[in-house]
Amino acid sequence: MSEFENKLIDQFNMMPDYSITALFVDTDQYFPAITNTLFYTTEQREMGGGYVTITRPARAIMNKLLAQKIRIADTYFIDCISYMVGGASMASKQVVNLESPTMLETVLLKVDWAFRQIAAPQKFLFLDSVNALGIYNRDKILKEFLHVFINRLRARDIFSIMLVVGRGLPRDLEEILQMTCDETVDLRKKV
Amino acid sequence: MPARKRCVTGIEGLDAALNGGIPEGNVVLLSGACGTGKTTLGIEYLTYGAARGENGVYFSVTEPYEKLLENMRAFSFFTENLIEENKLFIIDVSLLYNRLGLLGEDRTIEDIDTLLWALIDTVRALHIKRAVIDSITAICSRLAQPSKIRELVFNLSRMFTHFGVTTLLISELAGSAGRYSTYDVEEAVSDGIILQEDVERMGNMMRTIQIIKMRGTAHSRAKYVMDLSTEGALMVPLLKWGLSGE
Repeated sequence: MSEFENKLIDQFNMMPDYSITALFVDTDQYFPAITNTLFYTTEQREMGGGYVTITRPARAIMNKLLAQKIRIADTYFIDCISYMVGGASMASKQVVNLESPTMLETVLLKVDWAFRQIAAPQKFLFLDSVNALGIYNRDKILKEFLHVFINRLRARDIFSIMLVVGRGLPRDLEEILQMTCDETVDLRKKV
Repeated sequence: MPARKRCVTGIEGLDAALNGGIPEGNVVLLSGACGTGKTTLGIEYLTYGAARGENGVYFSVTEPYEKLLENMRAFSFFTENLIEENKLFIIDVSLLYNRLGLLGEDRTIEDIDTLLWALIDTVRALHIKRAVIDSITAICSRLAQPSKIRELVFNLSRMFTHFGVTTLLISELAGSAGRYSTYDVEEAVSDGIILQEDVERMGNMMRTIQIIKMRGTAHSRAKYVMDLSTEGALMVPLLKWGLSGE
């Protein structure tokens, strides 16, 4: 296990049951971040969850997780990108496809849909990633969305991770995450 | 003044926006352009009530019985038992016209009176608590004297309210902003207006729903985004920066 993975697992083990965390990682730690998060939530904590994917299509994420033998039978994917890029969207009961990552209210509604499908008593939500949402949405609406989204998750006691990859996020979006999340975990290398 | 009893729609988000549901006996105009989800909302509203012991009837003017039933079967909340157990009824109004001997294309006000009484008799005989008329626009469109539309809608509303039936009148809009009905009079005589629209954001269309008026209750006037799936309708407030395009 790499130093990054050890640090991440240590951080997870310190997180309270229903916390909402902004997780900052470097771009080269993107896959270790998602596989370890999903391993922790689905295998260690036996949670069922919602996975909002904007960075990569659900199919790619699912293949990656399955290749790592991570159990995702009770994880539901909200795929905001496959449809828009014209790629093959997945016909699966575990995946809903959105037409565009600009349909932020529909993300909220589909997360509600995912939570209805989950069998496990404890639920998680993984947002992959805040940066990718920022490609398609202006800062004002994205800040509003994060504020609403995180507070909806808090109201439902959902263990949540908001993933931020790299250093390109505008300062005020980082501040919104710090303000609304319970924890901020920054595992980026010092520059 | 004691709070009026509510007819819970069962549509997540709508009941909260209505402060508990539609006040019982209200006749509500459900307005929107084609494809905005009016029929789905009507079906969910009736099914929710029927499953809880409130008999419901769907008066279908525009779609034949079989086609509507086929649409209903697609929803996870719908069960055909509700029809078999006489809790949910679908009435094909074109067949009703035939049975009443109203065979021509244009209707006189007397024809419409005959239809109105047939609807009222149905509601009474079947102990109906919830009704959907899909659509009031289609009924009005066949009236030879448009000046009588106000009278028709007024009488229909009055009688359904009298029998304690909470009614959704589906109104088809051709897309003019600021209007809630085709003939402009339906909105004036109904107790409530719920408007369904399509909103465009950066090239993508989103369905929205907004309560314009509702007598007998305080209610939200905000615009909500609505998602329709086979599990029914879900609503969430439209993000405030979502329309300005800034």
